[in-house]
Amino acid sequence: MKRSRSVLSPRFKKQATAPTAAAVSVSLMLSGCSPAPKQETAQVYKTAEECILVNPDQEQLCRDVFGEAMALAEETAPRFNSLADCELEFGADQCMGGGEFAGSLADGDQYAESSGGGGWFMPMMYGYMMGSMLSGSSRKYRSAPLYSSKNARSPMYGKLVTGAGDTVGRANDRVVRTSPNNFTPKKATTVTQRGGFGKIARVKSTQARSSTKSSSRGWGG
Amino acid sequence: MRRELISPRAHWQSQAESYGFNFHTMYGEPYWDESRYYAFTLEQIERDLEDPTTELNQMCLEVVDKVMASEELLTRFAIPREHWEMIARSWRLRDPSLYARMDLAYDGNGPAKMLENNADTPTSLYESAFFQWLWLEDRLKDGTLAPGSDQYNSIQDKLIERFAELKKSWPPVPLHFACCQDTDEDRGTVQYLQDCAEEAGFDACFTFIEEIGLTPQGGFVDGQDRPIHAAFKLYPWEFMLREEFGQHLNKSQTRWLEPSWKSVLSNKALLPMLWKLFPNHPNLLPAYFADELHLAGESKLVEKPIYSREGANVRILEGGQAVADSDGPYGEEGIIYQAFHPLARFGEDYALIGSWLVGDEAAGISVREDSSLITQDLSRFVPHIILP
Repeated sequence: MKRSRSVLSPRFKKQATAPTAAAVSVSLMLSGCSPAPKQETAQVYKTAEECILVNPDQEQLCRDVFGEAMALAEETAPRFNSLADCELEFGADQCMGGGEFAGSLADGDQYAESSGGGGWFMPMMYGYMMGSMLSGSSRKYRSAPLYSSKNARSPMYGKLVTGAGDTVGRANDRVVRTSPNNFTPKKATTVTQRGGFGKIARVKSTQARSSTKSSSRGWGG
Repeated sequence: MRRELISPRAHWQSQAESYGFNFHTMYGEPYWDESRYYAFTLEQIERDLEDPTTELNQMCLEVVDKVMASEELLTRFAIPREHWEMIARSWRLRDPSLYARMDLAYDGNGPAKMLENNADTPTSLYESAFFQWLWLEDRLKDGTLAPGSDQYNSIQDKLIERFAELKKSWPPVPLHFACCQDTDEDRGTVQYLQDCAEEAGFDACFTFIEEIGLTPQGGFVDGQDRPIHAAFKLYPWEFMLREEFGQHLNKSQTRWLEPSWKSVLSNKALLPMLWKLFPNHPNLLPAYFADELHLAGESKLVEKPIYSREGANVRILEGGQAVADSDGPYGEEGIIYQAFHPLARFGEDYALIGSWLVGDEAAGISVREDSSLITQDLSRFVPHIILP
């Protein structure tokens, strides 16, 4: 017997649409590594004022939750060693200094590359999501800062992403369904660099396109 | 071995799309071509393709062993010196491999001749392992093929078994799958392998090669900052070793599929080494390093860069003059020469056999047709059967 016994499995059935790079990264980011845990609904606001407009009787709560999200953002936003790296990920003018670099971006200073580790760059909070849960007889509110990228080449472009990089929705969503884990603050990770693999492929594919009838951009053989 | 012309199945395109086979047509040209199929006898499959593939693989592993022990050979194979230690360690520990495809010239008569070994990043896997099998099932059902027609193809079963073995021998880490952005074919191949890994019980995630990040501690992370403990990458070792992150490969704890010792196998310097270790082996063609051209008695030779993909930068030389060539971006790391051996010709087309290995086991074949003597990425994939 020379052939496979059981080739067919439902796993191999696919959506009929072609996986463009963007579609693939969206669906995979939404699905993550493992089956999604239980989902809950959360409201998305950009500012405390937006929250108050929707909930006029909850002004104080709106302000508290916004303040909490801002404080969490300071602690948990993704950190970059250079402004350029941050802007590559989140788009021009979407980033600011943190730690030693906090607040000094406005005067247009040129930053040296971080050396001591006391300063970093991080994306500005795009908005925050506010969820609630019943705790005993009272309702408890909690929030998590959200980010979005303005750089069309970023996998986060047009999406709402948590500080830990989990996609929770699209940039203009007002309500999202998300895993409760996404409200658990995760310590900021500093990503030193990205794009350290893939450059030779880009150079070779440019050369190949300019010199031949072949337009392969795959790297298999 | 013969070729039969038939009418394609009416629904093949919609079937392809429902299974995510999105690259059945590439660059405006058909790639999957079921207007024909190749038919082999069982004897041809077993005696001429399966057994020689197993043996050739063992011979290739002997070359790896020789190269690892020799600084001179590592230099000839253009392996960057700063990575010798890592690659030698990967070989010493026999880091497990996943799969490979040997390209063979074979026309049904006489021994198959190995043209090269795509041991690092072989594609056309999905079509070979999965889609040509669906074709066989359909064509048996609709009566186009005689009952009892078979196919030399246990690739998928073996891949899933192989992933299950890896899962048992590794700590319980998720397995990442990675390829470059903007290539449907590579993305499809990697998705297929991910599906197979998940069938075997792996927790799997995807990341693009370009999104891989490096933490200050020197560990690789994916596009979402998840640590990459183990990864299948459809990206050539010869690129990774020379790129910015290459210097961090040695210290990072990532387990790679294929392992780094495959950089010695998917390297055309393998071909002259095989000929030195196994001269006149029936499944080998004479091959020479560039500085040994004076040893070549053959009047017709093929010049190949030691690193090249999809038939790029290959020249066919007759009496020292190029009679056919293909352009491309490769060649700077050196070239080798291999005796010319004609591909099997059927009608106006040339057929090339891809013989698959999963781990060290021969697992099946694919047939690709091209109207040119140099099989490139525009060649067409044609299904095959074993005659009842």
